[in-house]
Amino acid sequence: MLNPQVAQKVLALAIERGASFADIFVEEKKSQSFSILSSQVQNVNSGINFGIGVRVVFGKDSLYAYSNSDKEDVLLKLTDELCSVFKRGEQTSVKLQQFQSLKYPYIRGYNDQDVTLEHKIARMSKIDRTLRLRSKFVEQVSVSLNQYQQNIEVFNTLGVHAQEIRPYIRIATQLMLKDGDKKNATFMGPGSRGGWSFAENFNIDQFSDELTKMAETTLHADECPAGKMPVVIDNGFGGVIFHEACGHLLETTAVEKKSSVFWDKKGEMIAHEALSATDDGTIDNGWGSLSIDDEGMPTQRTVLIKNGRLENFMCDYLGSIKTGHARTGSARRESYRFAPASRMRNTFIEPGPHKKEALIASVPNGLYAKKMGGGSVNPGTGEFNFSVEEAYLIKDGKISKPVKGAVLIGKGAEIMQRISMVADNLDLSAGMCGSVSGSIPASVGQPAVKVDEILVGGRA
Amino acid sequence: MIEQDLKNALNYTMEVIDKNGAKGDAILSCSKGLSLNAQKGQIDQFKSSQSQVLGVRVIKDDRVGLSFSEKMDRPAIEQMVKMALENAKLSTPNPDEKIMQGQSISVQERSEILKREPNMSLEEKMQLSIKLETEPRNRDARVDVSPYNGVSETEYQNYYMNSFETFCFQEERSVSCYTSALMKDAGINSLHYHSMAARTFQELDWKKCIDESLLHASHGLTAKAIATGEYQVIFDLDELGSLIGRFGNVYSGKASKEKMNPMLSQLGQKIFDDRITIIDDPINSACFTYSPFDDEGMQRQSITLIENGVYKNICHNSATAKHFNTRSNARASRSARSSLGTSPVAFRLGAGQDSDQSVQKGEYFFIHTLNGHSAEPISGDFAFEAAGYLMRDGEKIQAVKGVTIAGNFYKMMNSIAAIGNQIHANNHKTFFAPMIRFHGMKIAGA
Repeated sequence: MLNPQVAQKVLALAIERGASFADIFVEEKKSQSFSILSSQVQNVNSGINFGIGVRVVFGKDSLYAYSNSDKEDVLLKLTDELCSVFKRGEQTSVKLQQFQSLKYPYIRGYNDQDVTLEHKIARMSKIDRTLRLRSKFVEQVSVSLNQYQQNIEVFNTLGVHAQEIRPYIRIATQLMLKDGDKKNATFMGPGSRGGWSFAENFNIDQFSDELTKMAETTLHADECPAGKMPVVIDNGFGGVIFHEACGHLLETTAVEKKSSVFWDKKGEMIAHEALSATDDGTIDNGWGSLSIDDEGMPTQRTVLIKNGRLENFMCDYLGSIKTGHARTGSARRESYRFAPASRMRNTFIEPGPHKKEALIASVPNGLYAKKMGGGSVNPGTGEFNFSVEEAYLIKDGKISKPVKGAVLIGKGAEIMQRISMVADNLDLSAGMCGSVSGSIPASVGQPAVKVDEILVGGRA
Repeated sequence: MIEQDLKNALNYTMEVIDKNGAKGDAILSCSKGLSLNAQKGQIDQFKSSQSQVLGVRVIKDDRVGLSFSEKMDRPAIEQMVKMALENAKLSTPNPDEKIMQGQSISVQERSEILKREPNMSLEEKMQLSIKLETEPRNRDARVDVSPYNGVSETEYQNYYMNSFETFCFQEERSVSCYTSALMKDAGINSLHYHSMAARTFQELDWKKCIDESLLHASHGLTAKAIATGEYQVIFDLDELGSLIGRFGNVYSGKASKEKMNPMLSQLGQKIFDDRITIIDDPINSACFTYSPFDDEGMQRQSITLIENGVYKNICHNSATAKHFNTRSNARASRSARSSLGTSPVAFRLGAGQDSDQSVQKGEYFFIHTLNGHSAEPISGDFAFEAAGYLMRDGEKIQAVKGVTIAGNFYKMMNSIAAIGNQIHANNHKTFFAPMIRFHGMKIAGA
């Protein structure tokens, strides 16, 4: 996308002006989306984003600027302005390396040539029709298809010139039910890194059954009781507990500032010995998978915790410079508008030896969180919160009545010690993770886990 | 200042739409910004940004199509309009959505919106950024680090043009700062973050950011959960504004049309406590969301949404107004990349009869932080992690954290214990309201 000779001139200028490192991130993002709402086709939209970000590093200090232009004079001026900020005038022994070009295998993108928009609309309309037939309480259905293809190119002063095509597809569905005065809206948004084949192979009947059951259960559920209790969190999106309570604290973005409670705990037991966790950017078609990260480094499978012991942090270039930990191919950003930062990819708790039923049978009185919602964490204290979309009480080791309105709060370091049983039913779910370098696709995942005690907020 | 190149791009967009026998409108947004972060007493991250995006909406044979581009040359504009026309062919006809004759408005001369600071050098901005990082550490030895801090300034230009030669332009500027204090004492960590916004650096109360971060982080070291039960609650205005905003479907003409407004059947009836009045006031220049025209080029006025508890109005664009057989009240919302919606702009709640002192009489839980995403606008149910102080007669009794607050928004707005007679602005000057004390709020804690 960017003429390599222009890239070479920009990086050479940065080095000439004393930079210890510089890189260029080129992004073209083509997107297509539409909605089926009230069974009508709406909001048919498509567009192209294009921009270039230039980062110049002086030791541990980073300067970043971006532009919509790929013109040589614009990029040189922008680089010159960045290099002028600190007015240090220092010399560097860094030499600009020759580019070693790498292109990654093409994965069919959103603009699959043989798939028409009419066909896509017909397929999404089928989800709308199927959902409307599943429940007598349906008030509204919204189905949105969002597809985009992010074409990226990275150049840096170490000689990296890497390109990747990243297609994504997500089906965002909201089902609104009404029964007398009772109303609710329930959301599911499955997605994949890949093209239209994900939607073509998508099991609409199974998906509609699952969403309808969750919505009807919640519509008629009683309020959740409040208090501390054991909780069994089921697989898939349940992994948001690890993502929020621990994952963010293992990014060098937090570690380098010592704002993570785990910043100096590498090699130490930070979780129950039943718990192992991994961040894996290499899973085929994983929602958070990459061939290269946003600094052009091939991505990796990174073991974070092994049998309770902290093994690795997720680390980008600046994180490595500042903390000394090795890079893990974890540099990510939403777009050219953001400098990269260490972020999660597909993060999950490894499967354990138990059956889910054994976890539930071990709880005399507690909560079974079947489907989790979103959450957030305060990295400095590890205090997190997340909502539960579908939940049931557990009485005498058996699943009892459904409840709604539950929210779980706690401290990451404490909860990691209280995960005492891990089941064998690992599954991953797609989500969007927001942090310092913007909103990015990231998978969360886990098998069912049992937390011995956690504060459950509710209204009963 | 209107940039002629950009206005030419808009004119050319309209020309291409017209040649294709369609009507349309375009939004062009430009921003230019600077942000700085410091660590260990020096600038750690510097970011300079400049971007623009042009978005088009075309209507042909009652079908609406959308497209956008970050390139503004003629071939890119032609391609963008072509994509929008292709998209329109596949959308369901919507006779309600039309391009409207609006009013041409320019607000580039409003000095209170666009305040220039010729004397504020980059070096001074860097020094301010460094102060935000170092002062929390210098003022309290328990502060280990100020992990989140920064200064930013942004200038925006928004252009609107449509097939009926309506042209609107707005230019504005804002600056902001934030800092945090991560305190460690006796094995306990406490972190608090505070941010502020203003039109100029001179108006930016950066010292308050530091004071508030230190104050709440310090109290957080001794904070503990209060017993589970029902409490009277006063929210910090930033949190109250955010909470009211999460249930915006009640005021949305678009949500109403799409059967996503759970209160629509009660329009004209009393739905909230009769001391609650909510006005949407986009033409208050003290408000940071000041906006004299909507995204269909219609001139805005303030509207009363709730008056003494009675549900009076919802926000309309021209399409929702036509659907409900009424007139647009200029609340069309659309960005360059999105479809036409409706949105309130700047909430102002009416003052009550109680003095701030009497609102704070007796014991209550003052909530300065709400965390979480659990707010469901259809049912009105919410549940959040909360932190703040147990208070009595306006004085702190105990710092509180590790608790949740759960309730139903629509019931909460009928559970008013007292409303103050003074209007205050939130820290970002986007929400104006009196102090409100709610009763019967369910807190889960110890």
